[in-house]
Amino acid sequence: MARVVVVTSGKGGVGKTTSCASIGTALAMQGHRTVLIDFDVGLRNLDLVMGCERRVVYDLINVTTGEAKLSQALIKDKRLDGLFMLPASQTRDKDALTYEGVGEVIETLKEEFDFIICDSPAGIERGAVMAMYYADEAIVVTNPEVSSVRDSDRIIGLLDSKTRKAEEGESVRSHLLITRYDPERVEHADMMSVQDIEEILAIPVVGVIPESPAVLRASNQGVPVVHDSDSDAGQAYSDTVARFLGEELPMRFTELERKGLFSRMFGGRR
Amino acid sequence: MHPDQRDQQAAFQFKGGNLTITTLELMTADCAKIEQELSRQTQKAPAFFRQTPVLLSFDQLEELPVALEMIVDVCKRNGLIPIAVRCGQEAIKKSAWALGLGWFPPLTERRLKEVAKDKGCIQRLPTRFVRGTVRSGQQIYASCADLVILGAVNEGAEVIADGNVQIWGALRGRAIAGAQGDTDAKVLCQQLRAELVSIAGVFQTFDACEWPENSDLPVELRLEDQSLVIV
Repeated sequence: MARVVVVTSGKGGVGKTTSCASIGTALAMQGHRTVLIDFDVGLRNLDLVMGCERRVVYDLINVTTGEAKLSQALIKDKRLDGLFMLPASQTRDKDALTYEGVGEVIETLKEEFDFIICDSPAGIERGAVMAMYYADEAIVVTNPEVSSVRDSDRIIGLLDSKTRKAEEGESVRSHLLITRYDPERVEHADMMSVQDIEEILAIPVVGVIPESPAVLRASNQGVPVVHDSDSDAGQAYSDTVARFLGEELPMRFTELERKGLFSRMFGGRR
Repeated sequence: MHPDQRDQQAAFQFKGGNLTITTLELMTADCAKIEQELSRQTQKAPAFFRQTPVLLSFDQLEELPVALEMIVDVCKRNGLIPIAVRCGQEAIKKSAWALGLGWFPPLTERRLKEVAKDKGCIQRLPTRFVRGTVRSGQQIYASCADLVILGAVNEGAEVIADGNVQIWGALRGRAIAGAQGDTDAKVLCQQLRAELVSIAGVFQTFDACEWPENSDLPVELRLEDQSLVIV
């Protein structure tokens, strides 16, 4: 049975698209047939992060309006079999999407794929509600700062009320993904801790991604960071997906590493 | 401007706002006494009494009957322009309307209790229970009932009851108890981190330093002499 997962946050710039790309890639690496849908109509980004921007011909809106077939719009990932993406339109706006059109596309994709990952736009308007409407599960991306946590709280409220699951009296299973986490700043009380965030949002934490230069490097190269298995962020995304699939793993990169005498003597970052 | 455009423009706008107004708080209904006092004050500060709009308040006045028309005449003779009355007494309200004056409800606690009785909210409906966290942007209202939240109330969320509000978690948002004016209503919570608490219209916002220190004991907020107390 295919699982429809929305990656959402409320606030912009917290790492929805980056997370979406890495989570989808990691699922495909484990052999699950996965499709990523970019719902950010007008601010198309997922194709860039996935490194397939030069191969976009048709998009989600072309499919919903019947101008193109689904098979024409799906772009196959160049690195992994079983990973596809459906780009957003850059020239239209978010009102061009309809619930019926999106519903049909998702129903068709369910026949072919194990996971359908919806990359939500920021905000709480129509575009974001559209992205979450058909979801069975949600990954709520949050940065360790108060405004992001409050916006995520608002989004979880919408997941509990504005989705098809909620209308049918069921609930969308929500997972919390904390990104850009810096244990050193948490130690200095400049940043909210995992415990603080978990207490406020009251949903289980599926992963903590550390602040890492590897993330920006990966985005700019169009290679999801999870491919960089030497990087802390890449490993953290692998762990996240393993937990998402039901494995129990301890959180990594959430504690400050005590620097040994040598690294203190011979430089390294403070 | 194009004539069509002019047609589409609204003739007026309603605007809410606060403005300061002089209130004449009456301690007696005796017109002779009022006149005497007023003319003495007029001589002291004539500029102040030149066509000054005033609100006639009968909050402090127990005695009845009140000859409102005569009091209004006294005011006018002394340069004041009565524009409205504030009172709880039905008779004064009626005569104010007959004289073309506005009416405002009184401010006293006694009056708040009367309102609560009027609405029948002393007789409570069954308690409303809400399971789980109340999140930012959500609002829950228990009409004529107590409200129990089995979870936290997060920042940006609002829980309202005509009776008591009980929160079995942290209160980080807003809690409003006694929304119809029941001054005996209470707000109870496991941990007070509230943005705002209001009981029977008396509200208080909180800065971080005003929250009680972390403790295992639940917090109770109630109304004492028109002000909120944290127990």
